[in-house]
Amino acid sequence: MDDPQIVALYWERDEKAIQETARKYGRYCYAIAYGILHDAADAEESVNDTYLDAWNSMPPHRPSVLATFLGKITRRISIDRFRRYHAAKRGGGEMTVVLGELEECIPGGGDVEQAVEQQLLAEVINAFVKTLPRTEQGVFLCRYWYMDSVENIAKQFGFSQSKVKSMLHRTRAKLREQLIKEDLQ
Amino acid sequence: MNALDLLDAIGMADDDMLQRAKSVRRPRRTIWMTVGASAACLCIAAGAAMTMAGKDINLKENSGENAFTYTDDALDNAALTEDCLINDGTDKTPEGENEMQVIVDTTFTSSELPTVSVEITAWEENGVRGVIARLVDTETFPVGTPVEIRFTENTCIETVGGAEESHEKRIPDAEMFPVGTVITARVCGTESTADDTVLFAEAVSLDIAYGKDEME
Repeated sequence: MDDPQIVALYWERDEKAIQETARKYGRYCYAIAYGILHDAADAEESVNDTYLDAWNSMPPHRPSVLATFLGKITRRISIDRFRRYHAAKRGGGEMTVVLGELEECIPGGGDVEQAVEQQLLAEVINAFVKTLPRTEQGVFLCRYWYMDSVENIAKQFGFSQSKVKSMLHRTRAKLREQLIKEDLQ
Repeated sequence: MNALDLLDAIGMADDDMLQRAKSVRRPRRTIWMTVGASAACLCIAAGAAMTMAGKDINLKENSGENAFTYTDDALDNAALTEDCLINDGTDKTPEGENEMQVIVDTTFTSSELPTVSVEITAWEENGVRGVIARLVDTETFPVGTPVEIRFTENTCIETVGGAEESHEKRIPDAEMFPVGTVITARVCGTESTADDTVLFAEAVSLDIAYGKDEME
């Protein structure tokens, strides 16, 4: 079934929308959730929550790209779940490693500016990612959006793992410079 | 700001970038690698037929600028595979029969698809890293140049010289060629990235000539 047809089912409040979503994008969402949570049961729960969130979001939303619309919901739900677990000293997998890597990008000596709006940060990062060459952009998003392991990214792009690591290292350094330049610390 | 804030912000990346990131697939094998095996078979078959016929072959195909010459020596040479392919894209048997359409990536010339001699410095998941140990048939990669050799599902291992000459379709491994070993790799394609050049090997063998010069 095409994406517009699935979206139409949501708008008609037809429960078949969930079945079609699960059939077409269940594995995609699960992969995102598992990359963050590294636990099969938790990932499954996140995916189910994604369907519920999608059901509540459409209408009013009518996403043009259903895959990334669902993926963003899964990602947000999974990160929230990770936050809760992390607070309880749980979690792990790629998420822990990814967070450690991203700490490098945070400028400043520990002062946390609480007033920075998340939307502004998102805009700056989005603009930054857009400036990256295609390959670096893809590798960066696979790592920090999809939370893919370095090994899987290396396989996907046909690079060595060391090359992926050095590419990510350079991109993080550039991002750090950009955040300092934008005074986001 | 903490890392989770960054992660949240990255989560708002544009849809088109997200789709593109996941649509990237490792570089497909070059057309060389796709047609190389069949072209090599054709050349070998042609060479065998000509040898059996006992003819001193020096066929010239007159097709304007793309004319090329076959000789007995050339037929015995692996480079013929490349010579057969590098023309206007339409390859023919010398007799003009059994026409074979070959789509050629004209980015490369035969001189850019060399046989390299590499001392292995590290094994990767799908290939090796190393340095050029001696010049074979190219000066594109001077001795000491770091290179990355990538193996493919069609890579063969050759044993050359003596009665044990063989040709086995098998992906090389570290047990066979440990770090420090000097190998020769016949290149069938290259891929250039911003950082380095990857050479795809169609055949790998132990470099039995390495060190001979010094010994002599």
